[in-house]
Amino acid sequence: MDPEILTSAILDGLLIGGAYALVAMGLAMIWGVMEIINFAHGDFMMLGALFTFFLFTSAGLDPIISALISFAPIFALGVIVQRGVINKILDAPLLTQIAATFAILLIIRYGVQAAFGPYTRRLVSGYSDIYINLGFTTVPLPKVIIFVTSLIVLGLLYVLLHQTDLGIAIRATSQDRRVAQLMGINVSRIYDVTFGIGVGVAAIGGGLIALFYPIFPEMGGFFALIAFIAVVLGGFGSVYGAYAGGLIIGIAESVSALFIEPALKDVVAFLIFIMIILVKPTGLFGRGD
Amino acid sequence: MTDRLLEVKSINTYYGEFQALFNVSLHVDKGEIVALLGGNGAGKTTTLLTISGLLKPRSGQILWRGNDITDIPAFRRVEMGLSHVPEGRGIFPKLTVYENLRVAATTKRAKEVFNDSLDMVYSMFPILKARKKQLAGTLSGGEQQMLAIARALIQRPLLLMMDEPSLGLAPKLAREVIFMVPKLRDELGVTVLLVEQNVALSLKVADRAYVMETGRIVLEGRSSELERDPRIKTAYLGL
Repeated sequence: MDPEILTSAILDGLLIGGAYALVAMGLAMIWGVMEIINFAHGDFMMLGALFTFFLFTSAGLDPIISALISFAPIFALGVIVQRGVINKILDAPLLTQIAATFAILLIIRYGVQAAFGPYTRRLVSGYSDIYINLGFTTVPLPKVIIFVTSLIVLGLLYVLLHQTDLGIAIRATSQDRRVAQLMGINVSRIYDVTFGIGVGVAAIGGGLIALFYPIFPEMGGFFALIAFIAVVLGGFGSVYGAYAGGLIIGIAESVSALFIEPALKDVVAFLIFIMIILVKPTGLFGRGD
Repeated sequence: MTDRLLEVKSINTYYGEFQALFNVSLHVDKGEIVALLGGNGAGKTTTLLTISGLLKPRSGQILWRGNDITDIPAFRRVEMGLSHVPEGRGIFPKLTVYENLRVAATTKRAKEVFNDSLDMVYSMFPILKARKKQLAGTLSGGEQQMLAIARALIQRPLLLMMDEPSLGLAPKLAREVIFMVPKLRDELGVTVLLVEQNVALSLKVADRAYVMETGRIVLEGRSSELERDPRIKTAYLGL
């Protein structure tokens, strides 16, 4: 095998992994703090993509700026969903929680389809055709942008969780919901913020993915599955583990496409998932928050 | 005129359909040390949880400085000056010692004086200062208890409720922790409601005490009187 082909496959997977990581980090954070599996996570991501698309096509805003802006409305929507639905099922049986977040998924996905049609949209911008030449290979600019953004978001989440009072309160709440209240923490407010940030970050991911990936109402399904595997890989609940998990899946998919039918590369993620469940169900990194 | 901080009026608390408290009434005046005594499962912890708001009573009232706080959420009661060191200490194991102290200053009132409070608890418990960057889960049992108390003091409580601070500590350390209670009152002016299984030691530091059995208050009085009470002597002091 030509080492240059292998290197560029790894690089391409790493960049795509940044997109997976953006979706996965929020999912991990929501699980880590609230112990809720948000089945609708990919659909909040899709809303970010759609919002970015409309901001770009209707308002003529730069798509990257649009993707970053999409954090705000999706954060707000997340807070509303948390208060209206999630907060009421926190102590409910697992099946109820799954049904509730799955219902949110259906409402968002088919609400969008009803409102905007089942079409596939493509966001064609000035970024689409730019490639960066690295000598041995070229990489498309949109993928570099999403990877760099994922790193920045990772850094911001680290600073939030470790350097701010809000972040310390979020971590305290994730460790002991009851004692957190005895510290004077308004736990529902922590959940609002956590859910809002979790889906808001996924929306940024969606907006940037739209730079090179088609936008359609069901697009979230695939990314949510990948994110879920990344979260398991990273040790349920660890934001940093989920980030690493996203990158690993990206690289595994991309490298395996060199050896197997490219159409089958999505299978690789699920093979990783099954292997992790069999060999090390606590994930590669355990849970560290 | 006594300054009544806390008055609990015949509360009944349930876990599902299981009734854990039966018409529990008690009061704590400013400056007092009051002990709540009794064996395992007597309802002492449930009483504290109901006072701090983590459990809701099905009936009855909790008055804080004369105001009904029965429906006020737990986190707001902290702001009002009601602090609770829970059973098992309740430290956050994966936060550092410093972060545990910092998170205790969530309320506006505590945040404003956090730096002074921090100096105060570090000088009271120098070991916490030495270990401030360590994860709290790596502390010894005694150190964790110090951290739990320090965290409550950071909140600047008017009333400090301590749930079995001596639990799981070596006898010498258990003594030290219980004898710290009068110091907290005398030096910091904190009123204390102390839940303990160690009846003999608790009666030495408390002004008054309540004794609970199977969810009811069965005895109450001044510590000096209870120490001589034959029922206490046989049931708890092994005399």
